[in-house]
Amino acid sequence: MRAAANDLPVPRKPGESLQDWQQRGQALQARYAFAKVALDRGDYSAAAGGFAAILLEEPGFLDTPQLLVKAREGLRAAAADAIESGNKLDAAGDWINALKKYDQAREIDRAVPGLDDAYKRVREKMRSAGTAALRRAKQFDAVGRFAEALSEYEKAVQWLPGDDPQHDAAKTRADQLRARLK
Amino acid sequence: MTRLGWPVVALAAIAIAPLAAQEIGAPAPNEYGRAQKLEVQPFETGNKQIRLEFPKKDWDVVPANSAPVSVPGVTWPIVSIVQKRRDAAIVVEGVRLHQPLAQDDITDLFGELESSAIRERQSLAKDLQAKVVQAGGRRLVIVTYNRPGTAGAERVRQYTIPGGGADLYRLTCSATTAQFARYEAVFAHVAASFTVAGGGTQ
Repeated sequence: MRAAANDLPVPRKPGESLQDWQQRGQALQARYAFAKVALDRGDYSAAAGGFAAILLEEPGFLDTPQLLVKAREGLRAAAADAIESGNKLDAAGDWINALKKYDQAREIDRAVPGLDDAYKRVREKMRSAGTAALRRAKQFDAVGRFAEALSEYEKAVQWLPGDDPQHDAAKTRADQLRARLK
Repeated sequence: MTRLGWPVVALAAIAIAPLAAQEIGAPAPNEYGRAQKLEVQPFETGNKQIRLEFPKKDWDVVPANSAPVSVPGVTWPIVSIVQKRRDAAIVVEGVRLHQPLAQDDITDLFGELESSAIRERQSLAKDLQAKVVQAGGRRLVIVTYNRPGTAGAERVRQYTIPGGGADLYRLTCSATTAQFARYEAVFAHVAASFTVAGGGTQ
């Protein structure tokens, strides 16, 4: 189906052939429809990307500016939801999954407020808990209670950051104990 | 490894306790510290590695003459110091740990582990109270408990002192319950004077 020239919501560029104009207008309408469907189903990332691309090519295309704002609001809300979920996991002591939620939030909207603080808070808790777990592990290990020691070393490995020298020490000893307890 | 009466709930509580909640306090004066008025004499092992002071009068030394054992988990006797009327005794032993422990590694958990080890060795021990203390530049565990003895009920105070690296020393100080208070200052002095060359300081 070919749109009539005066149905196209796109002004014709100087020197643009009728056919090119029609094709360009139809392509923009198709992308607009795709982005709008994405917005309606809550895929704010796809919607925002689609609307932003349309506006780069044709500023002011239909109600795209308003829909882009709506998509970005949705993105921000989704990121805030992810942070909130992460905070709940943090409160429950599930720091690993809390960080995964924060990663999701960052992928959705890098600029969402509170993200940096949330990362910092959880990582500090993990480092502190990892150090404490390593200390418990050493104490169990010292007196030959290897099963309990292994359990604590594994926590230390999970919680201490990879660049912490204690992380490698905990991992090495955990591997030794795992082999010993087999 | 067998485990008897391990206080799982207590351990779990320690495991989740924040580090700040496990700050180490000083011992009570009657538990640890030199007795200024006590006349003492030194005891030193043959290799001069271990030194302590005990009362000049009315105590006998029974050296063990055994060398340190390098097998982890094995205890070796160092010396026994016995009050002449057999009212009180101090038994000093060493043990090689499976992993070295730094001073900072000694927390309330280690006090619980020491209590657990006492329960394993002495099933009739009761009323165990363990605490980790910081004194004289070192960290140690003090466990006080009761047990039946040959001359009736005994009260015992065990000092667990890291010797640096993988060596740990236990001073088991016992007296009949009725006489314990009389010898408490002696026990406190012996523990405070206990030193390991290149390891635990006073």
